[in-house]
Amino acid sequence: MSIVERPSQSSTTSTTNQGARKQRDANEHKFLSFCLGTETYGVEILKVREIIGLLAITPLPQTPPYVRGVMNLRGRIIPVIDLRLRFALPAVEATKETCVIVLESTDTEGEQTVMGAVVDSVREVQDIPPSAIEPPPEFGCEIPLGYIQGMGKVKEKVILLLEIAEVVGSRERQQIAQAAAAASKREAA
Amino acid sequence: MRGALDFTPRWLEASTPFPLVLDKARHMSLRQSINQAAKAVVLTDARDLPGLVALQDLLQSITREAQTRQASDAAASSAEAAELVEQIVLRQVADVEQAFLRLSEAISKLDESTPEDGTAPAAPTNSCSGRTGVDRDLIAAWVSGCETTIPELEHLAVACEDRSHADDELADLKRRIHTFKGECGVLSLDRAQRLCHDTETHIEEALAQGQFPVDAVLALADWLRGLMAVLACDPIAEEPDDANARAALCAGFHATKPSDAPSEIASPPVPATPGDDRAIQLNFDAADDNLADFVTEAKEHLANAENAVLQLEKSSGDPEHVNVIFRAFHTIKGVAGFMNLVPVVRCAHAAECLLDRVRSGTRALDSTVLDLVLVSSDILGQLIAGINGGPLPSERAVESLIARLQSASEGSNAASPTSAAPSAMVKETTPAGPLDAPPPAPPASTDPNARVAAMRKGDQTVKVSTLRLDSLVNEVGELVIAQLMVMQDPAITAVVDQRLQRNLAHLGKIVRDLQETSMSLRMVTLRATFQKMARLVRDVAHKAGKRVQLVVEGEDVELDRNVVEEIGDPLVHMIRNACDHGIESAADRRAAGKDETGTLRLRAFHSGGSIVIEVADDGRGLNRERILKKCVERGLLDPSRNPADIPDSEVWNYVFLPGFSTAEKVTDISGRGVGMDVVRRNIEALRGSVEIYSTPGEGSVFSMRLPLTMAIIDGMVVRIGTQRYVVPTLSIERSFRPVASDLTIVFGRGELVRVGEQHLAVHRLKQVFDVQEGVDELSEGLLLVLESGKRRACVFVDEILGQQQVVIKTLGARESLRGVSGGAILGDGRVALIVDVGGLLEEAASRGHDRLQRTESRSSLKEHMS
Repeated sequence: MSIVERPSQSSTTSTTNQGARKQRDANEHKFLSFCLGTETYGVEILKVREIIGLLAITPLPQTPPYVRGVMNLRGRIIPVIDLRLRFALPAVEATKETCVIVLESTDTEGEQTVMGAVVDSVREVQDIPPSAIEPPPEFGCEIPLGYIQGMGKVKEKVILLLEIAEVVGSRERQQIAQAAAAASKREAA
Repeated sequence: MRGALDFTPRWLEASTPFPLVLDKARHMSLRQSINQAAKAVVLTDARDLPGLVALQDLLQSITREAQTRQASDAAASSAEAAELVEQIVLRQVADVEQAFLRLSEAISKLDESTPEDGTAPAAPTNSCSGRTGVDRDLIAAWVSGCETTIPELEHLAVACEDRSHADDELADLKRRIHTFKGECGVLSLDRAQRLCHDTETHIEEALAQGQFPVDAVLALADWLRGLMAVLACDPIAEEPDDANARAALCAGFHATKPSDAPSEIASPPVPATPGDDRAIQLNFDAADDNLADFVTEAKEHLANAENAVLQLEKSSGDPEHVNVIFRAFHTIKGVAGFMNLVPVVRCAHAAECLLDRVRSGTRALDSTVLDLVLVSSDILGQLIAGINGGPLPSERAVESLIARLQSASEGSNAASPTSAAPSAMVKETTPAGPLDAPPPAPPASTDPNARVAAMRKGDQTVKVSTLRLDSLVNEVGELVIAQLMVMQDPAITAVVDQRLQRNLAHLGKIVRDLQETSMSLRMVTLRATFQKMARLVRDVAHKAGKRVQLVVEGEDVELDRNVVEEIGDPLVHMIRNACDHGIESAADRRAAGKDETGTLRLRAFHSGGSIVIEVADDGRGLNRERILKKCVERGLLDPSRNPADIPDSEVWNYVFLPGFSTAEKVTDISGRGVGMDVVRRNIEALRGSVEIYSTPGEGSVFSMRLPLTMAIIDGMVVRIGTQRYVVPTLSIERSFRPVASDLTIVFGRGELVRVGEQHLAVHRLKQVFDVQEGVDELSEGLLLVLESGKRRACVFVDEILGQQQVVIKTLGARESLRGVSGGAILGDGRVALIVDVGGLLEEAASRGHDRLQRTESRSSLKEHMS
């Protein structure tokens, strides 16, 4: 243990920080692709916490049909939505490939939500550089497309990249607002 | 520490052979040489001749260099230092220790008088970059060593203040500060080194005047402690701002040698206007992570102090209580100083000074002092609450408090060295005034938890974030479920093996113990809450001009943290009521043949799986007639009812209605009828209940029954189809299988069932919760009679699976669902929803209402058509 003028050891911490950042950077443009029917979609890998098989789901009352209910993720109860129903695709029987993508999102108030999304199957993790992502299309009408982050082009195929916070956000909020309005109407009556 | 470093010149062998350093000295900046010399002084001792010679050479070269730069002060100092070294080498000094002291002083002086070299920006400053060369391990070792030495320093300082037998202590103290200075020098903690040095100088000066600057030393100790906390997290972190420690130092310097204070406050001495009504300004950095910790800790300290004051009032003279108060204020002052919360520091300081007079026996401990301490505690509490966004006290309040504290402490001993302190600190409070150092930057890289942990090491308790606790409890819960799943696995149950069974049983026991322990982690005692009530009783009784004695029992009873936090308000209301309405005035009590001093009994105990907290007074009791009269006046009670037939419990229940008050006049303590409403609502929110027992002339008892924890409920697991739900057992009055003859179907209004004398509405849970499966025929299922507030109804389920304690969890969805209060994970790992009975009955009723509306409109249509 020498006392004076020893070469610094501080570099170790900065390297680990850099390492973490590097890894983050490396994952920045990675997307997990999954299937719903014939279509392929993608979500940012940074928002994916894990992928699990379909567990027992407890239905919730007073929720839109695409909210499948809640399930037990190792002691934590998380809501589960069915992306098929969310995108108005017909419901299908669960197969061996059906699984739940556990997603994490942080809203504008900094509150973190974890939820599961039921999908038909999970494909792969793909690198989609920003140059290969086009902004969501404008259909020339007022269809809210907030939940589409962009259109990623991979090998001449188009993958719809989803903004997961919006997928549940907008519609569910609407639904809740409707429910609240109905309740107040009831009360007024 | 000196002893630890006590061998041949490590500073010499450490980096480069010394001659090379000498050669380089010319190229090296002057300041670097001086730093080298400062380190050398600490690391050499009298026996280390080569080291001393090398040091002498270095000093001589510094002298030459200083001369060429025409820094005559520096040259003189270093020449003096060189001379000293020579004397030490030649054994010409009588007291080697003393000589070293002087030597390091000379070098520090040299350090100060040396102009910054414009050419060499590489001079070690207290910036991170300047300190990266220091060994982290070394700093860490030093910091852990200081954990004991700093309290010793404080202890010595206090001992020295009592000058009668303090010569040894004084010498020891000086030695210690000096050691600190040297060590800080080695570790490139320039600011700390300089502060130690200035404190040393200050002590000498003050002693020359026959005083001992205890404040300066304590401030130094506080500051060092803050420094340790920072370094404990990050050894190469920047040193914290020393403005407050300097202020204490300046306060002493002020009288003797104002120009010498190196951090002479630059702003002109604008005195704070004492008569200002504006809310006082707190300059704090809201982003500082430590603030929250400070706020909670400070509140605890204040509570302790208040409690000690009350103890003192009861049995005056126990010096330990004074010490408790002193320590509380002292700690708050220290940490607040670290946070740059000047008004807090000033208040705490003034109170501390007063207490110090008391402690040293120069001020009698009378009611004035105790009152002042309580007022200080209040003002500090407000200031601290202000950090969290609460209203801040006015400047006038703070100033007048400080003035009162000062006059109280000066009243006995005007010549005390502390009296100079506040005047100098006033300068610091001018919020806009530029301080010599910028406000401390938020220490970005340090973890507040680690820092607190570092500060409180050695305590019996650890502060852990509730998030971590919750996740531990969760994981243990998960473990329990996993264990159950293993135990019930058919593959396991099929094995008939004694050893396996024994091991499984053992595993089960461990898991259960673990679960119990983890649940107990969230439990805290009621002590702190009850202590607050002691203060409340004192204040309310004073205000009402009554004499009330509080007897507390069961303050060690443990409750879930959340519950303890929530019962504060109800308790306050109940105790206020008891003091204000329950206990009579002294004259009335005398007339009734009772002791003039009323007794208020605050009691907590376990009873049948829950906790009961009782507030009992020996006052006049509730006035049955007056409550009944009021009820009739307000139309709550049918006037035709015979008052004698109404049971007491019903009468007492009216007290809980919002706006109900029998008080003839509204005082500022109570009487508006809000209190008991709050009590009942808060307690029901905690899934508890409250009851009143009262005997006229003998007093009343308010008894709260609370669950042990908010995290667990006792629930009945019911089934509908394949779905299971948990209904809180507390809300279930009874359950039965309905008989067809008791059922009535009211067209369009739903079904009714006769329960005893009453007809209750039947709600089918499967309809309310939109479950597709389940029994439809009422006689094939079970009816639960549920009760919530005023509502009472029957809920139809398929069957009851059993009673079980479940851990309540949130559903993870941000929006709450009506009729569902959360989820629980059952033994098989699946989630069952917990029924919120109040919400469920409301929801069911509103659906019924809908149906009713539809049928009514239809029938009116029919009438119309016919």
